Amino acid sequence: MAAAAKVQWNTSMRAPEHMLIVVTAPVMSVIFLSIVRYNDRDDLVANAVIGTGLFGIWFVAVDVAGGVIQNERWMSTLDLVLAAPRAFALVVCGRILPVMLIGAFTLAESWLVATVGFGVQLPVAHPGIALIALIVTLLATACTATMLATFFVISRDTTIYQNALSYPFYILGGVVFPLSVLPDWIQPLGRVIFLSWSADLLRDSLSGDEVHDVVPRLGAIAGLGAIALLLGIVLIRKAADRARRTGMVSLA
Amino acid sequence: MMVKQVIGQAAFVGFAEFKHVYTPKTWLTGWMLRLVSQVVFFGLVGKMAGDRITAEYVLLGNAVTVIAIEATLVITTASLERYQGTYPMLVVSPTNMGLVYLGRGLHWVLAGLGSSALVFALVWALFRPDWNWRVAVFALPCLIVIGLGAYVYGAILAACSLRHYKFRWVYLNFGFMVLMTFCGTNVPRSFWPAPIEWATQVLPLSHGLTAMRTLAAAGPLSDVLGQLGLEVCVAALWAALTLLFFERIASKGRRDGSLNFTS
Repeated sequence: MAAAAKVQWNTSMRAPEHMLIVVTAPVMSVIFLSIVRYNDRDDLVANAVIGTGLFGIWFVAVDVAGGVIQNERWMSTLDLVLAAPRAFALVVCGRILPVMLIGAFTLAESWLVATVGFGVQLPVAHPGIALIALIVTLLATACTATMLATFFVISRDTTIYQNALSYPFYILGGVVFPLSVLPDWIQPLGRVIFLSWSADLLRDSLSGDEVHDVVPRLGAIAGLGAIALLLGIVLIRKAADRARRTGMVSLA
Repeated sequence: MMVKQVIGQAAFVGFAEFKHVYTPKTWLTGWMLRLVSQVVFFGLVGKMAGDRITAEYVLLGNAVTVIAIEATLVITTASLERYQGTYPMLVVSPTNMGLVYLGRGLHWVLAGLGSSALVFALVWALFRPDWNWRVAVFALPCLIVIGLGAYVYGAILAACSLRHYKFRWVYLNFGFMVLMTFCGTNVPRSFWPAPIEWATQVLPLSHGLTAMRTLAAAGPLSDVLGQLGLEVCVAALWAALTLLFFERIASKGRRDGSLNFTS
């Protein structure tokens, strides 16, 4: 995982396309904040800022998970990586982990847009909780994106599924709005997506009120992330076995 | 070759290529799923921030913006030419390279028209907004004008991406997000400071979207036609810039041989 992380970090630092979210996140932040400000709802600024950050974190993870497999396929090295004696899921997870820092950076950008661009004050009332929630969220994101990489192994064009794995997760994960905005029947589904726990906890950590049930909520984020990683290891192994059997590794 | 022939042949190549971009299954489960969920997402943000009217405003804006997003995908077509190594042939051909690009990605406008119309219909069925029936009847001509405007705007960004190849995704995403942010998709253009509001007058989508909103609010048809006329003028302006800009880039490429090797 460490070697994979080093490869990805060096690659990303030299590839402007991996920094795409650093350019687009502030614009997305402006969109959310404009909706909030136009409707005189400054009480929702935290939703806009946290929402942009989670948006960026998830975008980077899915982008890299898909990009890793697509690039290995283009360079004809996917066969070699799958033939290596280490679990491919761990390689993918290792490559996603370092770029989570780029995702986290979008949270800082969004905060800057809100304070400098829109002139709002957004103090972090519980910085300790916010920091721990952010770190656990970054880890859970990397684990979940690893599981989703299964789709990319069996797909010919990862871009199509990268697109499909964005907004449905932003809706079900309640990254900008609370799950209560969704119809009742769909809300339980949102609760199995770690982003909904992360968004709630991060939003609460910004408010001045006391934050309840911090440990169980952190546990929910970490637990869902761990389950996703385990599933990812199993599913990617199955997908890789199938690809080896059918000879479709480079030709899915 | 005549202008019509150049654009026609380029469009023919684009349409032939497009058949291999999606299968019906990947279009539905990949691209359409993303677009529908994107529009619903912003509609829910509107619902959270305001009332039903706000949510309907945001839903209409985002459903119409879908065609602008898809039309700017002409930038990816320019990248494809780079992969295929066909730029040098375009550069030595006896016509303006911009003229080729005014036809080369027209399939994205048609695809965007289908996507936007379908998203529009789905949103209407799901959310039952209080829009006048005339918006459904006149949606297609409005969307075509908006799509063409966004397309020529995308073509000039495609020209820029030829010079900065590694930034092609930045040009694409930043390009359509500027339209999404400032041209009235989520909040009225009057919300922005005066210089930005003024700049949106010469950006595609602004006037076309106003025309659609006028239709949805059962406003006068003369206003709708006036706004569509302005949208056509904006498209013509960007088309002229595209021709100028591509010629400039091609000239430089001929001079220093750099066109196929920029990063």
